[in-house]
Amino acid sequence: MSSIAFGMRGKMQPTIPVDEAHLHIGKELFTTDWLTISEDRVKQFRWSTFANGDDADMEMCLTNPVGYENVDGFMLVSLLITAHFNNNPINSPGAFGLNYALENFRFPAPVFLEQRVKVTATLTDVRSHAKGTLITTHNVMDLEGSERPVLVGDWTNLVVTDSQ
Amino acid sequence: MSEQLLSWKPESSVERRPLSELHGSIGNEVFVTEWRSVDKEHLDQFHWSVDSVPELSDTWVNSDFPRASENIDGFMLLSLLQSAFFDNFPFYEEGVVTYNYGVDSLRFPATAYLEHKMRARAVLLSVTDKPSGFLCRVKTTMELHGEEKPALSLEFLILLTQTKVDR
Repeated sequence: MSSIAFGMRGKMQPTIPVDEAHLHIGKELFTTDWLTISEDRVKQFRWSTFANGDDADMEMCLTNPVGYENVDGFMLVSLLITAHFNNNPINSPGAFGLNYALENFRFPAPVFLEQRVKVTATLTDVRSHAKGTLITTHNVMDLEGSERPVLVGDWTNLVVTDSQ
Repeated sequence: MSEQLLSWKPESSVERRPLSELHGSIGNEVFVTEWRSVDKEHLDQFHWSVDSVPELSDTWVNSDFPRASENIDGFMLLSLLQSAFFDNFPFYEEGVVTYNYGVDSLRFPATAYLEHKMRARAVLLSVTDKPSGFLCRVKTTMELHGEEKPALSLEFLILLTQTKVDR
């Protein structure tokens, strides 16, 4: 398995220039490789966001007997950055993306330490904006062995290119 | 820099309120945190935790972003809300488990950088009775000191329940 988180499978397909993205609405952009959510990674995430016993009052979550092993929903959201960096085929030279909006994010099933997840992203909307192009994807994060996904939601990025 | 400066713990402890007071609190501000800031060490560690670093990912998207290395990622701001709620959300009873249920209508109106001081503000918009507990919709903003627009604005959905998660 690749040492690159979520692999680079999506990048194996032809690049879609930003100004042609609208031709791909409704299509799946990529499915990533599986990523193991290791305890080290989760510890780092909690330390960096002050969600650990040294920095925060954890009573609300530690009353859950498996609270420690339950991977934080916002960590799953944050992993979408890397899934898209490494796999999203939409790109133009000099382009950069600004995180613009989230809609309808839900966490249907829990994930625990050392389980594996993968992300599938489908292009749902492309529209122009004064500063660039708004690109919306529907994202589903699946859990190995589970019928229910662990995250679903619509993510919009404002992609700014050289020509804009 | 002390840990205390960085965490969202309030200067005086939060008075816990029973869940029976939820319905009567709709429309009210339920907390506003102290002004806090994030340091480079925590920002870097956040990037490592989700592999969002050049060594491990193809970060073309950010390479041309202004002051990229000092920009606090939108998803880090979002993630900081977890500890802000742990430390400041008042509705809690022994045995109650709080779940992150979802996020609606999230926007990033302003850009946050390391020099910013920020604080989280939460207003209870609605409470829905569910078989498993209470689903709270909380309008949440991350304000930047000295800026008109917040860095983050969303409706955060929290489920307060006695039901424990199964493995």
